Amino acid sequence: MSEANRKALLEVDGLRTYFRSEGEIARAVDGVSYTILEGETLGVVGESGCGKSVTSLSIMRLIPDPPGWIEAGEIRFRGRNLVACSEQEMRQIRGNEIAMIFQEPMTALNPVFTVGSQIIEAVREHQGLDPDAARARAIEMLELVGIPIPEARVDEYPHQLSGGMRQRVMIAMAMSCDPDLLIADEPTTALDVTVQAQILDLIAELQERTGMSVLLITHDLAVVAENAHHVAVMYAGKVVEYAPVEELFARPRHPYTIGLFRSLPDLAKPGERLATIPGIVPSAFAFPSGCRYRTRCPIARDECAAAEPPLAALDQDGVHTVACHLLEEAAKL
Amino acid sequence: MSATTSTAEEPLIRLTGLKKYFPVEKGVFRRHVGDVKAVDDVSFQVGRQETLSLVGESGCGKTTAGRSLLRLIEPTAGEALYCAEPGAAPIDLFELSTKDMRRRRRDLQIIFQDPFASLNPRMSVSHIVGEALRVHGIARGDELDGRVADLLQRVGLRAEARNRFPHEFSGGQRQRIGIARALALGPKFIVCDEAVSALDVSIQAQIINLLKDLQEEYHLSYLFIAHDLSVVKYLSDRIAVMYLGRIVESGTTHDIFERASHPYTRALLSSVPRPEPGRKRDRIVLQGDVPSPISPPSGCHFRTRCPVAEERCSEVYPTHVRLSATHSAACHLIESETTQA
Repeated sequence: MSEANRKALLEVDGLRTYFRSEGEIARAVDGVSYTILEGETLGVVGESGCGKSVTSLSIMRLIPDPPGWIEAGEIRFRGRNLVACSEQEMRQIRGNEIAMIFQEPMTALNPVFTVGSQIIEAVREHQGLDPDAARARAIEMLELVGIPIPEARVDEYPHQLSGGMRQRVMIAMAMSCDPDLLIADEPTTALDVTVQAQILDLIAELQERTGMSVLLITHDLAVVAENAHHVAVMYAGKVVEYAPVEELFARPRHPYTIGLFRSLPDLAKPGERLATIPGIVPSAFAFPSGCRYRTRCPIARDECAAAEPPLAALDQDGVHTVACHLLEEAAKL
Repeated sequence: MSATTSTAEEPLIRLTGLKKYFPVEKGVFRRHVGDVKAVDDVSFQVGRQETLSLVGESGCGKTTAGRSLLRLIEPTAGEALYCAEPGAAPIDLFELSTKDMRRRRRDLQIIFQDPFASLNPRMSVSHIVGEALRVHGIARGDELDGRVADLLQRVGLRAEARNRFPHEFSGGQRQRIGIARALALGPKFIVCDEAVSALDVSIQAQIINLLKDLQEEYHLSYLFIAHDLSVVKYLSDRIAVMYLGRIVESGTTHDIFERASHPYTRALLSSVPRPEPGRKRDRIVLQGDVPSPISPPSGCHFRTRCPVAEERCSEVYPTHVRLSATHSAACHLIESETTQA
């Protein structure tokens, strides 16, 4: 990475996370590598089942075992390999150093406790605050995320809040221990567009203020365009392209990325047909041999079935990497 | 296609003053204590082979409006004139008996959002797609089989799919089955209720293209209910923007996207992220959430979140101001704004 002065906070390196189901193995994440720089947002995009969420759960070591396990690879957080950490050590890292927010805030919040008590629990556990200080911290956090009248809201239950407010509470909980990395897994997918704008602005503002890094997982390319610094495009358990956001949108090089952009109604002219990617995403139980995109790729050739293309740098400084055998043909797409 | 603007021809659907109230009851005697005014005085027209989109955030009443129009839920008040052929006498769908309405549903169909919940998992695809043909006594036996096979092929599935069950298909394929079902009776009008919202972007594009092709081929009219404005912009001829049960602005797609007048429409459009990194955003961030439809704010329902609200906005609900032959908006401040400009 030639990014001036920015150091890597998290490096996912050759990660493989598998699940066993009825005797068969699903290779949900199958050789994923990406880097998140300090103070930056990495957007991970891909369609359902591409493994983007399983990667983030692997970082948190929250893969249910059984049926799942980390088969291979390293996840280095400030150089420390999380895959080798004990459960005890992970508990110290979760919340304190890496925090996570989810798509559906109603299922992530406990309905029988007040929102305040859920934040208080986190800060007492992780930061050892006494009850009064923890409550004050909870109110401060609710205020930080823009919840009106936080001293009253702190005693309310999740069902008393709207969807946008619940997501704010989730963010308050995640931020309460001042993490270095916030993993946001489809944080606005369940929200209306005006509320989505509020939440994404809030995350950007908090990042500005604290200097944390954000891993933003989404299926929405427009959300990535406006919020990420780097982007990793995932397909069938692998990263197929990785680049700074402007570079990716200006010069997408993988046929899959190009196909995704072409199918966006935003970029089509009215009356013009949308380009489509034929077929459907292959099952994680039976990925095609060689390049996994070849079954849907408009330029695939025999050689694509023979070997898996590695994620290789397009240029010397290695800011833009693509996994495709046919880069020259793809450039003409 | 803005055939509806000419006065000569009666549109396919002319909905006037639709209201749907859900009573709020309390206590053991189920005392009536108020109403959720899910849809409150909504009027629109849908022309032949035209796509009208209803847009707005969750709870704005767009789905209730679409379902009330088809009488999948009974409307509280209003008139829905349906004119099957140009020149034919319009009939009021809301006045039809249940039996007549059932017969009329041959012309009026719906596609749902969730392709997982809207197909009966115990029924084979041929049963799902062919059911309406059987119920309406249109086809049976081999003819029915043939029709189902044709329909499946028309929506891009293999004819063999008819012997399989919904769980064997992906989300996009299931949505195709739902579309085949809606097409079975040769409808003139289809309500697409968030029909592409649950799909991945590459699959969404396939379904959008299919809906467009079918519109051309069968001269269909769509009422497209959606919250994704980029899809709406691409598909619609005209757009009506709803907020808390009412239409706040309506116009052609161009009117709405290029000349939005209502402060809510502007805020909504400005909140939509665009796939253009580094674009300068002049976003109007709305404060707070949509108020409860049980007790909407007095006067203009939007005034509590409106960046330009004045005192008079809390007094009366604004009437629609006509901005052009195709474009209108309900806001007290619009006239003054246009004179300024």
